[in-house]
Amino acid sequence: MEQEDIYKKIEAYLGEDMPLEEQKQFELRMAQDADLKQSVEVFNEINHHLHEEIWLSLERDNKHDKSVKYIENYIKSDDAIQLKSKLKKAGNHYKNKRSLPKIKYAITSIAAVFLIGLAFTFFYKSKLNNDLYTMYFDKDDLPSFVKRGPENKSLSKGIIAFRAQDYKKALPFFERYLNETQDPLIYSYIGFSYLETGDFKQALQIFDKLLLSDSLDKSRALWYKSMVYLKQGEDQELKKTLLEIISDSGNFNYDKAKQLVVQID
Amino acid sequence: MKAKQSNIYLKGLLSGDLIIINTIYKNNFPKVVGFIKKNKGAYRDAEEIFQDALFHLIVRSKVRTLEIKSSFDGYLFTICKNLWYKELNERKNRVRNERGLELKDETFKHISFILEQERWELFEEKLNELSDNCKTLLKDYFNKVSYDIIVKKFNYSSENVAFQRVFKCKKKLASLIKSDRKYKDLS
Repeated sequence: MEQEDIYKKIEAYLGEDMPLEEQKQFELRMAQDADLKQSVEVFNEINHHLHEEIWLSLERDNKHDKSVKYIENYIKSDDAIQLKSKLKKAGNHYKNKRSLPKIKYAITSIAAVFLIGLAFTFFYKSKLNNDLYTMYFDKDDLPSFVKRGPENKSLSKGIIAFRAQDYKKALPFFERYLNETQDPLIYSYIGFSYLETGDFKQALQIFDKLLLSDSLDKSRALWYKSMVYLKQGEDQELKKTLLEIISDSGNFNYDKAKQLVVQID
Repeated sequence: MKAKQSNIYLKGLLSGDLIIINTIYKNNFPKVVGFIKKNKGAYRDAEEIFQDALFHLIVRSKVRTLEIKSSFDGYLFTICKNLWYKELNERKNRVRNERGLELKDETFKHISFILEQERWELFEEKLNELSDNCKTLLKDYFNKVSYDIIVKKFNYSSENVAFQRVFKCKKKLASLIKSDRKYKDLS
């Protein structure tokens, strides 16, 4: 019976259904009785648990807690940051895809006009390809110029414009650098500048040059070409190039190519 | 089968496999949006909650223990639900707190949820160890089913008997929780 009384008191206390004086006394008792204090805490948590909409945020002393430190270290690690950005990418991809059916609905509901349908198909496909392009093209895939040093002016000016995404401005600098040095590394940058300005033909020509060069980066050329085909919407060529990449696991971006093949099917 | 599917999803998440993550989105996100919209939230809230939930699964797999007993989809939904309840709770407190107080650091928010969720899972596990009778009784009681209905449903002779029964079940649950080592670890 006494236990039942305590239980009633605990419930009254938790439900704030206790006269102020009694509440003070109860708190004093808790301060002296660790068992009672723990029971109150557990009962409180049980109440919250069973009332599922009310989440109980626990106040804890985080600074000195080992497990907290452990989780914190991981959250701040490169691995976690990279995975988080992957999640973001997938989120954006989902969102972009989701907005398409709405447009589709709006357009088809106007009328089954053949022309509109045709225009839409084109739009849908290019939007889809654009999504995949944003998802798969990664500027980190470009070779690094660090080893080349800053001595060449055309190169540094070109890189600055390239980083500022001013590809039209970057191109003449890169071409000049190529003339001066014949460095095949610049093919990647020239090709991508053409790709970004929408000049697919030139981009493909440049990447072919890279493919035929003696550069160590030549295996990248296939991947770059697939990016051109992807943006261009040339599905057959895209598939052909991707299959070429995945025919050898040593090829640049072998894994990504494997994923992309599945996705375009 | 369920375990195999969970494994594939978890592996995909941990390796940042976009095909798998896209599939997880496609299969689960709409349901989460529906739930959050029904519970005072917007599409944008659902986007954030879903991202956080997936991130928590990654963190827990990497540095804590994670055992998915139900289906992956069911588990993910529970995480999203709890994250959203926590968010709602914090929003309410933010409104109440006139000083506005500090915006909690993102990392700290993740850590506290992860540990609270683990504790929630411990409570759920212990609740499932109770007899079916106790479980239903406690759930009814907390869903504010009135005593007279409980008396009829469970065939008790009086409200006092019902009250004592609730007390016993709760006491049993408390002792199961307190005697589990994890409870102390998660305090």
